[in-house]
This record gives sequence, structure tokens and C-alpha cells, in this order.
Amino acid sequence: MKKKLFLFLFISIFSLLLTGCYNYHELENLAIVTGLSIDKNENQYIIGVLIANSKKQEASSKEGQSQTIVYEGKGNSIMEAFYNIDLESPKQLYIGHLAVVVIDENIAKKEIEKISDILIRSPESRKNFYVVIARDTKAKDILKITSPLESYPSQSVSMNLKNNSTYQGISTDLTYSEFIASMLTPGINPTLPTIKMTGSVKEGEKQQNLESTDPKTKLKLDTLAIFRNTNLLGYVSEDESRMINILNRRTSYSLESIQYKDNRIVFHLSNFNIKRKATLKDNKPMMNISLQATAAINEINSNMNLSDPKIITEINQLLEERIKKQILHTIHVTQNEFKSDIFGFGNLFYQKYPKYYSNIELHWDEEEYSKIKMNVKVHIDLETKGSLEQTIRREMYGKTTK
Amino acid sequence: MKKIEKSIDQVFTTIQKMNGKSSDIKTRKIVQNQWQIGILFLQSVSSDDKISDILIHSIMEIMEDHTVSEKQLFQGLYNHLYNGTIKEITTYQDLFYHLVNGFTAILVEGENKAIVVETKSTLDRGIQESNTETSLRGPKDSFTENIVVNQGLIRKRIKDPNLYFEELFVGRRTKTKINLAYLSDVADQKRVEKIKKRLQEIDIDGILDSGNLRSFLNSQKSVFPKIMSTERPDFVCGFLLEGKIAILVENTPFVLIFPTLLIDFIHTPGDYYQKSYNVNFSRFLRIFGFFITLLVPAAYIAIMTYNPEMIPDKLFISVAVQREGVPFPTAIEILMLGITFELLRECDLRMPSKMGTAISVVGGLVLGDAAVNAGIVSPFAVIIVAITSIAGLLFSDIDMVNALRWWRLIFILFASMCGMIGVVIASILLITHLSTLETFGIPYLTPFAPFYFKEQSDALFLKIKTKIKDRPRYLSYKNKRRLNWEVKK
Repeated sequence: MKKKLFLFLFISIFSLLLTGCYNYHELENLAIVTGLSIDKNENQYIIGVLIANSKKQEASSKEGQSQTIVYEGKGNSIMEAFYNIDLESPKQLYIGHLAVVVIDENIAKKEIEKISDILIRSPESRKNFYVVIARDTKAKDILKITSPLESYPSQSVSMNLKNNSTYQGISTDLTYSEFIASMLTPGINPTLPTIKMTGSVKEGEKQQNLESTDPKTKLKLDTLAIFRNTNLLGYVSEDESRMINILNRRTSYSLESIQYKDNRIVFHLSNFNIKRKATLKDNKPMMNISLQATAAINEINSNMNLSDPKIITEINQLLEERIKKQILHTIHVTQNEFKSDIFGFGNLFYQKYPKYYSNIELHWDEEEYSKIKMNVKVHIDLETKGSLEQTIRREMYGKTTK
Repeated sequence: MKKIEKSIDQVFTTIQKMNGKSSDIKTRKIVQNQWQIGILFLQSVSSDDKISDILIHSIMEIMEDHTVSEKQLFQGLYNHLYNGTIKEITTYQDLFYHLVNGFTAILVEGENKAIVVETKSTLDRGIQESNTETSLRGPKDSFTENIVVNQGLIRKRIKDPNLYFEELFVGRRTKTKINLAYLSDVADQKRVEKIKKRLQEIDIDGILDSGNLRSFLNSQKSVFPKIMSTERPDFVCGFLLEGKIAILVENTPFVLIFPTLLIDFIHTPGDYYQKSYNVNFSRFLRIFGFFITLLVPAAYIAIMTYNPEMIPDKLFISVAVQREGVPFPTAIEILMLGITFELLRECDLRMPSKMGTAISVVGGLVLGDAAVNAGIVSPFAVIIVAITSIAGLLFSDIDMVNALRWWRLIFILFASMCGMIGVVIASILLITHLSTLETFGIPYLTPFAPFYFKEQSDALFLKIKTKIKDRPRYLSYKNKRRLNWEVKK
């Protein structure tokens, strides 16, 4: 009896071990999709998947040597296009480690909600991949461009997004779940980063592109894309992108420059502290925005006396004014040009004055948003001047030189 | 019990008959004047020098001494022989026992009793350095096969009259001497009685090593060791001072320690010879190693085959590229490598150390490198198995290493069946199992479950030693204080 029981357990354990169970995959049977592009022709979606572990090069097994391949599939829906690719790919497509989704401009303009469902519904996807809009080029081409510094294209795009978002703030590393959340939350409209390609695809998809020290084809991050609800309206400028990211607390560092007499001074901004407060007086909405930050002088291309406290205060004031102007300008553009509340001011009113907001919810973006009065306060602490106390000329020849 | 006869010749023949005329039984008859004296000893266990130079010499002197009257010869021998250990016996059973223990029997014609005198030859190796438990600091001596020497090594360290050695014999044929050592005013007397009773109940033909006793002292089924064995006298003394009980067994250098808890395998007694800051780091490594050796292969299988979303992109792709072309499922791959490692370890244990290089060449170069190059296993799996095995060998107690090996296998099976959930299930099983165990009334997971706050000062981590003043409460209620010390500035 005991022997039979043991035999039964033995067989059952090993049968479970040898055959697959639910959700069981062996790694070598998976095609790891790290990038996904979505384009559309007249009536069909065209998706491209970038597979990272396509071929083992000889006996080498280092990650850097993994080769990538892009498959293309067409279908009336994204899922159908995926099935189409399954016919070509010998391995099962696995989107758990998806890093970047590139969406075609034209889809973003009209029907981004139609393609959003599959990526959030699939239990396999992690929802922390980045979404980026391909500007002036097909989304699929972005995936094809081999990248010189990273092992595969999607990795290069996501690293680029992450770094730029942290250190400069022109682009933003909005994850998919954040994007969907800002699309669905009342009173907020999403923004998405964009990407461009310089050069031709034919050059870029070749391995030779990597071997050159000055690759012909490169990918370049571009400014933010502004949405209203689910539709792409247009793009803002670099300065505006930067301000949008600062006000939305999406960047930790940024740059700003001013013209002081003949001197061009570039500042490095950090330690942002942004307060946004919605007030309603006599049914007139008003936003109080206060921005505090620390600035450090990054570059001065002239010869001025930096040890003069008067000049420093003057520069500081100029910088504050410049930033304030920038903020007001950026908000003005979104209020009047795009009529899209990408800052989420509407959401602040929705939280604080739900009754007021419920009356105007339907035409918040088109009408009410542009009526908000802005009260902007900027306070900058100019803390350091970098490694030099003075300008370079004064450091070398003493303070008497002019 | 057969009594010794009056005739010397008859005694000689009876003894030889009892032992099947074994070749090492030596007899000698001395006839002088009207007296006949018989000398009987086992050559294999007695020292010839002692018998001829001292014993026979002194017998001759006494026999020539004319003041000894005829009837007083036996008493005269008993009183005047040059020897420290001398006994009078009357039965054959006693006689034979003493003979095999290296005594020489002196028989006098006409007396139905015998004198036994100790003439033992040293059949033991000397006190050497321990090669199973080495530590950088601390005494280097280790126990030997001689129980008296072992007792001496302990006595030498604890010069307290309260150090008791209770003697008893186990084994019908081997008559193995067993000593229970404990500090009578510290150790729990009930526990001592319990162990003594268990030992007395053992009716077995032979005990050859202290390991034979283990299964008699432990009634619960478990792969985890509940008895620690050590061959370092300083370790044993450390345990005795804590209030534990040591069992010394004749003919083996390994002394058993009672009661042993899980935490004792994470500690090593050598910890107390070093600074507690440094000890804490190595304790952390041991605890870390405990979890690594149990969980890493299982977690690898679970993550790679069921939950790959859990690891970063770059690592995942790197592993995936490595697995390209490997013909076996991940679980089989890990099991294969694990068994290969165990094979190598087993070889290393059995083979003389001169063959070690050959084994490491075959194991390290041929099996490891060639298997990866041939694409049979992925390099990452080799790393996983290597880390697991290295971490498993952190524990000096071989029983603990082997117990962890079993549980690692259980974890792997559960992980290959249901992924991360399986790992969780196996963890629950392990914790449940460990908390059902107990040794002589003390739960195995003490002092964590049940939780003793005060004992945490020497549980996972060691507090500064001048601040640990009491014995662990779960070991001894009496005589708690160990240290009287105020920090002087």
C-alpha cells in the first residue's frame, strides 16, 4: 500500500514536472517583445514587434550580443495583428517585458482609445512601459533603427526617455498606466513624449549603421504632444515642454537661460517645490501657483563681476521673471491655442468644488479652462556658481580687469 | 554467574573455552616453594612491559618474602602489588570483562577469587587538532577515541566539583561506556533523568559511535538534526556552562550535545572568542546562506518558467539568450546540475584526499565548462547551482547540510509545479514542520517561537558580550547568572 502510494506520488510529481501546467513557459520558447509599434493604413492596423532574443550568436551568450528582429502583422484589431505575427514567429510572443510602445501620429490624432484596451487588458503586460508618439515617420521605422549605445532599439528609446525626463524635462517618461489614468481622470488631459528619426530607415536598420562612428540614422526625442481627452491636438515647443514637465512635477532637474546685458547665463534648476491651489471667488475660478527652486550657474560666456551681491540679486530677479513669464506663456498656449487642460487644474477644482465642476464638466476644456485666472509666484534661490567663484577671466587676471 | 574455581589450570581452560581459544589469551604459571600463581592476560590489549617489568617483578618479590605466611598470599599480593588500579573479583563474567579492558588477572591456587591489575596498553592516537571543526581562534585540541582522555579534556577546563560524569553501559556485546556530563547545579535535572532513562532502555548488540545513539534519543521524524555532535572540548565546555548536557561515548571523538535547537546551528561556539561586531556579520552570512540555499534554485525555476515579469528586462533577456538551445526544461536542468554537485561532494568525502585534485579537475573543468559549451546547460543555471551549493556548505554540521539538501529538493519540486505560489506553499510547509519539532521539551524554534525577548541578545545577532549576563532561560531556571560585570570607564 505504502509502495503504491509512493509510486503514485512519484509519477504524479514527475508528470507535472515534465508537461506544462497553466502559465508554464520555458524561456527558450518565448519571443520576448520589448518594443511594439502601431501604425494604420486605410482600414487595417499594422503592428511591428521587436523581439530581443532572436538569435544566439555562435557560442556567445552575453546580453550585448543578442540580435533583434522586427516582425510585422496586419489586422482589423491589434489582437488580430498579433495572431498574424504568430504565424511567422516560431516562438510564442511574450509581452511581459515590453519596454516601449510607439504609436503613429495619425492614430493618436483620432483613435488612441481604440488601441489602448489590449495592452491594459492583457494580464501578461506589466503596464509600466513607456508610450511615445512617432512624429513625421512610421512608428515601425522607429523600432528598426539600431542603436549604438544600447543593445537593442527599444532599450535605447526607454533609457533616453528616462534620462531626458529626469535631467532636462523636454521629454517625459510617462508609463502606460499613468497615461491611461490621466486619460480617464476628470479634469486632466494627457501629454505624451514624441520621437523623431533623422536619416533614412534603410541605412538605420542595417548593422553597418552601428559600425560607423557617426551613424547616418539616429533617433531623437522631440517635444511633448498635447491631447484633449483621447485626441492628439499638436505639439508644443521645447521651452513649453520643459515648463509643462516642471509644473506637472515630472522632472527633477531642468535648464533655463537668460540674457543679462551682453551676457548669456545658463542656469541649472533643481529642488523644485511646486504648489498648486484652486480657489473660487464669486464663481470665478483662480489658480495660485507657486514655484520654488534652487538654481546654480551652469555657464556664463562673458566677463562680469559675480562677487557683486547687487548683480547676483539682479540676475536672480531676472531669472525669476523669466520663469514666471515662461509659465504664464505656457499656460496661455494651452488655454487658448490647444484648449486642453494638461496640468490637471480641472481636477483640483473637481476635488475642491465638486458642485461647481459638475456644472461645467462637459465643456471644461473648450470654454471654462481658458477663463481661469492665473496667479503665479516664483521664488528662486541662486545658490552656487559651480566650481568657479568668478568668471574665468576675472579668476585668471584678478578682479581689477574689466 | 559462574564462580571462579580454585584450580588455576581449570580457570585457564575455562577462559580459553569461553573465548574459543583465541590466540591473544596468554597464560603463565609461576611455581615457587609451595605456591602456585597463575597470570592471565590478553596480549592484544595489555602492555607486555608493564606485566613483565612491574607486575611479575613485584609478585616475585612478595613470594620471596618469607614473612608472608602460606594462607596470607592472596591478601599479601592484594596489598603489596605495585599498581594503582587493583580489584578483587569472583566471577568469570567480571574476569573476562577486565581481561578485555587490558587488566591482568592473578590467580592463586586454592583461592576461588582473582586479583585484577590494570596493565592497559595505549591503543589510542594522541590528542590531535580537529579536522572536521576548525576555527582560526581558540584551542586546537580535539577529543580522541579514549573516553578517559576525553573526560580529562573537559575536567581540565571546568575545575568545578559540580561537573558530574554519570556512567552507564550500552550494548550487549560492545559494553560501550557512556558518560553523561553536566553541571549539576545548572543543568535541568529532569532532563538529565529523561536522557538517562532513554539510554538505559536501549537494548542493542553494539554501539560503535555516538551517531548510533541519535535515533534512540529522538522520537520525531524529521530531516533536521536535533542533536549536535562536536569533537572540540572547548565547544563542549561552552555548552556545559550554558546548562546543556553532553554525552561522551567510548571509542569515538564525537560528543553529543543536548538539547540542540535550530539556532545552535546558526551559531558556532567559536563566535564567543571574537568581537561581537565581526561575529554578527558572519552570523548574517550564515542566515543569508540558509535562505539562499533553500530558496534560490526554486525561485529561479519559478521566476523563469511561471513569473518572468518579476525580474528586470535586461536580466531577463540575458537569461533568455543564455537558455537558447538548451534541450532540457529549467527544472530538470537545475536538478541535473544539483545532483552532479552532490556526486562530486560524495566522491570527495569517500576518496582519499590525494584524489581530490582529479575530482576537482573533472568536476570543475570537464563537467562545468564543457557542459555549458556543449549547450546542455545554461551558464546562468551553473551560477545558480554553484551559489546554492556554496551557501549550503556554510554550516559546519553535516546533518544540517544534508537536511537543507532535502528541503531544497522539496522547494524545487513545488516551484516547478506551481511557480512562485509553490515556493510560498513550500515555505509554509517548512515553517509548519519546524514549529512542530521539539527536543526534550524545548520547541525547536526557540527563542523565536515561542518568543523570548531577553534571549534575543544572542539569537540572530550577538550583543556586546559584557552585556549578556544570564544563561538562556529555556535551558536552565536555576543559577541563572553567568556574569557579574559592571562596565568600567
